[in-house]
Amino acid sequence: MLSTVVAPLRYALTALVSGDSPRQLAAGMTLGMIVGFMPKGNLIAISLFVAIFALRVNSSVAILSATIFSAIGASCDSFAHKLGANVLAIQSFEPCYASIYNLPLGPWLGFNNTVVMGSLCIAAYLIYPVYWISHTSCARLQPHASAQASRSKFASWLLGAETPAQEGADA
Amino acid sequence: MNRWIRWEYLVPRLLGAIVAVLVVQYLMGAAIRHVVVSGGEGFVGAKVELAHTRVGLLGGTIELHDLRVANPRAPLQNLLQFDYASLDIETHSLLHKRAVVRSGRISGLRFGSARETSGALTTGEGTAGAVAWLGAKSADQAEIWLAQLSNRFENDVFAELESVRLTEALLTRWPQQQKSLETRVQQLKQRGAAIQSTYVEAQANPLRHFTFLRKLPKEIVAIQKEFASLVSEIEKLPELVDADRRAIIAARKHDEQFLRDYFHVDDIDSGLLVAYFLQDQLNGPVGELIAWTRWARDVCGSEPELRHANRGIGQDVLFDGVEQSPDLLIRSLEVRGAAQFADRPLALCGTLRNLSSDPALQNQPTKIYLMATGDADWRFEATIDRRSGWNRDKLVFDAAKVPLAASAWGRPDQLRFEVAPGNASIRALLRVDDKRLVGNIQFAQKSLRLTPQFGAAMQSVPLGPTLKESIADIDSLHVRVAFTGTIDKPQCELKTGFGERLADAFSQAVRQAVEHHSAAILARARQHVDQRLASLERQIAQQEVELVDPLRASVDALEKIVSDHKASAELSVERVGRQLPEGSLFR
Repeated sequence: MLSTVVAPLRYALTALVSGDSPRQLAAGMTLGMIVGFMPKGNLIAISLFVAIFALRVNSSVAILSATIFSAIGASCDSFAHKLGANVLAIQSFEPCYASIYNLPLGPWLGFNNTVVMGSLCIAAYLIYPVYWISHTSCARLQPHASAQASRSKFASWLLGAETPAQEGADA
Repeated sequence: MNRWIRWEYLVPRLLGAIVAVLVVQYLMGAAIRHVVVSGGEGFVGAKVELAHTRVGLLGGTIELHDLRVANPRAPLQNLLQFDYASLDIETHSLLHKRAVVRSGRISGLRFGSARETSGALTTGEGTAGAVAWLGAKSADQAEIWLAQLSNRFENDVFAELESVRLTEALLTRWPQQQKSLETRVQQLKQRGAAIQSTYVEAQANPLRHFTFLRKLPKEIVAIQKEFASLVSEIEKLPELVDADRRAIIAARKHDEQFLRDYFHVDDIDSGLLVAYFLQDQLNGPVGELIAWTRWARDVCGSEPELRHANRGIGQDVLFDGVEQSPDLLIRSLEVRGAAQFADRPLALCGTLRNLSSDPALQNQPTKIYLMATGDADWRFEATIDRRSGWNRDKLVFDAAKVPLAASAWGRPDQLRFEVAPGNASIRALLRVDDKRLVGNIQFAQKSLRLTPQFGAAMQSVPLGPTLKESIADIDSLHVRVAFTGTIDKPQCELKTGFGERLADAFSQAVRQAVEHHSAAILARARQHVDQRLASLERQIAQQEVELVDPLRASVDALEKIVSDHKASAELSVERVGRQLPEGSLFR
C-alpha cells in the first residue's frame, strides 16, 4: 500500500537525480504519455512499452507519465472513439488501412479499433507540446532538484540505497 | 575454432533463446488452456476441464490431453470427453489474429461418461424438450375407453336380468299366497271341527240343537263348496307356476338383448390406441432429440450473424478489401472414440469439417459425420449451415439392428403390453430452416412379441386370453413420427399401421370377451332360475299334500255326518220320547 503511494514520488525523484539529460526526460515523458493514452491490449501499446526500455529515454519518467496519462486517457475514451471513428471513416485512407491490416501481425496492431485510433491521434497531437513543456521544465528544475535531494533526509529515505549506487555508477 | 567463434558471446544468447522459446511454449500452453476452458465454457454453458496442453512452436501443433466437457443438461455427466487431441495449426494464420486448424485428430472420444462433481455453471436452466403431439388427448381418450370397458365388466348385471327379476318376484309372491291358502285351509278345518263337535253334542240332545241340526246340511254343503274351490285353487298352482315359467323363458330373450346392449362398446379408434401405447414411450427420446437440436442451435448460433461485435472499448472497423474470416476455424478433424447406444457400446469414427467461431463468414457449412466401426450399422450426419443468408440445419441418423431391451408400453394401472427384447432399425431425418422444423423419425421393429398385462383398474375385464390370442398376429411395428411447427414449438404426429391392426385385435378380443361373459351370465341366470323354480314346484307339491289331504279327511268326516244325519232326518215324537230319560213324564 505504502509503495503504491510512494512509487510516483520515487519515480519523479529518481528521474530528477538520475543524471539523464532533459531531452531524455522529455522523451520519456512523451513516450509514457502515448502509452498512457493508448488502450493496452494491442501490439502498438506493447511495442511502445518495449520502446520505453529499449530507447535511451528515462524509463522512470515514462512509467510515471504512462500512469498519469492512463487516468486522463480513460476519461477521454468517448472523445477518442468519435475521433477514431472519423479518422477510420476517411475513404481515401481505407486502402492504406486495409493493406496494413492485411499485413502479418496487422490485426494484432488494433488500429482498426476506434478508441485505439482516436487515442493514437490525441497522443500524436500532444507529442510536441508535452515534449516542449517537459523539456523546458526539466532543464530548469533538474539542477535545483538534484541539490535539494542530496540534502533532504526524506529524499534519501525515498530513494533508499539507490542514490549512492546510482551516483557511484554514474561516476 | 575458438579463434573464429566468440563463444562467450554466442553461448549466453543461444541459451537465452532456448529459454525464451521454452518460456513462450509454456506460456502459450497455459494461454491456450485458458482459451479452451473459458471459450468452451462460454460456448457450451457448462464446465470444461483440460488436464494438460503442449504447444509445438516449430511444428505448429497443439496437443490437448484429457478434455472433459460437462453436460449442461445433466451436470453429473460429461457431454463429451477425450483422452488426446492433436491439432495441426496454420502458423501464418496466427499472424493474422486467427487460429486455423488445418487438420487434427481426436482419440479416446466418449459421450455421456459420469462425472464425480457437478459440471453446472448456472442453475435452473430447464431446457427439457417438451413435445406437443397432434391429438395430445388421444391417450386420455383411450384411457377413458378402457375405464368404460372395465366398468361394464365390473358391474354385476345378473340381478338386472328380466328372467332373474321375474323369478325373484314369483318367489317373493309365493310365500304370501302360500300363507293365504294355509289360513283359508286352517279356517275351513276349524269350521269342520266345530261342526263335528257340535254334531256330537247334538246327537246327545237333539232338541237343544234342533236349529243346528236343521241348518247342518246347508252348512256342510257350503263347506264342501269352499273346500272344492280351495282344492281347485291349490291344484291350479302348478299351472300358475307354469305360466310364470313361460314368462321367464320369454324374458330370457329379453336378457340376451339386454346384455348385448349393455356390453355394446364402440370400436376404439386406432389413433387412440397408438397414442395410449406409444406416445409415452416416444416422449422421452423425441423430446431429447428436440432439446439437443435446440441446444446445438443455441451453441452454434441460431442466427447467421457476424460475431465481430465490440469486445472491449470502442468498435472494430472492418475495411473494404479485408477478407473476413473466423477467429477459429477447424478445417478437418478426425475423431475416434466410443459411445453408448441402446445400452450397447459402439466404437466410433468420423470427421468434423469446417467448424468455426463465425459460421457466417464461411463459404462451406459445418459437417459432422460419425459412424460405427465393427459390426454395428450406425451413422450420424449433421450439416449446420450458417453461411451468409442461410440458417439451416440437417440431421440424419440411421441405425440398423439396434438391440432393444424388454420394455412395457401403456399404463401399469390399466393395460400395458410387455414387449420382449428384439432388434429395431431407426432412421431420423430432421431439417430446420430458419426456425421451421420438418422431418421424421422412422422406427421399425420385426419379431415383435407383445404380452398384455392388466393392472388393478382392469382386473375385472376378462380380456386377457382373448387379447393375447388376437394380438398374436401382430409381429412387427413400423412407426413414423412426423415433425412440423417450429424448433421452439415442435408438433409431432404419430403415423403407423400398427394402430389399425391393434384396433382390429382389440375389437375382436372385446367381442369375444363380451360373448363369453354374456353367455356365462345367461347360463348362471338359467341355472339360478331353474333351481328356484324347481324348488318352488317342490314346495307347491308338498303343500298340496300337506294342505289338501288333512282337509279332505275333515270334509269326508263332514260328509259322513251328513249321511248319518240324513238317515235320521225324520225326527218323530215317539223317537224323541224314547230318547227321554227313564221315568220321565213324557216317555
